[in-house]
Amino acid sequence: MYALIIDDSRAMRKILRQIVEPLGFQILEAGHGQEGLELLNERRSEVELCLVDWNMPVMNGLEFVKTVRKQEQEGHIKLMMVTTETEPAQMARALMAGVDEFVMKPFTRDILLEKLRLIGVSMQLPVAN
Amino acid sequence: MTIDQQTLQQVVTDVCSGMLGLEVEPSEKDNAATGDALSAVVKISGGWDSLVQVLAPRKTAKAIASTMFAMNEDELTEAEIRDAVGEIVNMVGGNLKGIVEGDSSLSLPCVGEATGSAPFDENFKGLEISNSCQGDPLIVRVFDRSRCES
Ligand SMILES: [Mg+2]
Repeated sequence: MYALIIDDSRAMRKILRQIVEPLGFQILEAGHGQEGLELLNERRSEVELCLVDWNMPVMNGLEFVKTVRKQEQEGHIKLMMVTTETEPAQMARALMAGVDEFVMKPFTRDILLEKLRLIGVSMQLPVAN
Repeated sequence: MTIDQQTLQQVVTDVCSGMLGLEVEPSEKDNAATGDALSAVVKISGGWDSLVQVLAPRKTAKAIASTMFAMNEDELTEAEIRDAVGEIVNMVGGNLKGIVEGDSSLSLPCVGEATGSAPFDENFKGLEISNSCQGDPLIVRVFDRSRCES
């Protein structure tokens, strides 16, 4: 399965990749929502999870979420916003648009994993040896 | 709530130390920090009109990028160094915006060479904290645009 990471910061994409890739996902990366949509449309049935930044050029995270949910025919892609946005009104807008969960930047690996568990993301946690 | 020195310091510590594991602590201002440095700025508009700047000498900027990209400093490109500093100001600005009441929006970060132009020049009168980040200087400033007439 694939996880799609959408953030205009390459550094942030790398940080997210380092947490999510070991869970057994193949990773797709996009620098804004429009690019994310294009990648998603190429492999829609194989993408389980999208980690989406809010504040991005071209197409922001909220627009991306709205578009994905509008296009969704069957199944349910897990959409997690990874953002600095904490304004209750804004968060309500995102939830109405179809976001499953939020992670606030700054976050730690443990917080992100906990949130992924909460929304039922399948994880192949590496076995310590 | 308005932003004071202590709140700003807490946010910077949470971002740099809590998330990225960088060693950050308040320090005396190092005036050399404003020399060959990168400036990353976000603009907050709406309920709270302000500008937030992260001023990082190249050495600090490289150390930050090296941690964020998990790469050696000499492997980093200029774009990666700027990206890392830009994401720091994005997180700091976004968190400050969340603390101040009112519906505000955050711009995309703008990163460039620090040129000392207003309001972030030698006459800067807003809130400023100086830190040592991985042993190198890091300055964060907040300019409240709604107070610039007074
Ligand atoms: Mg962003």
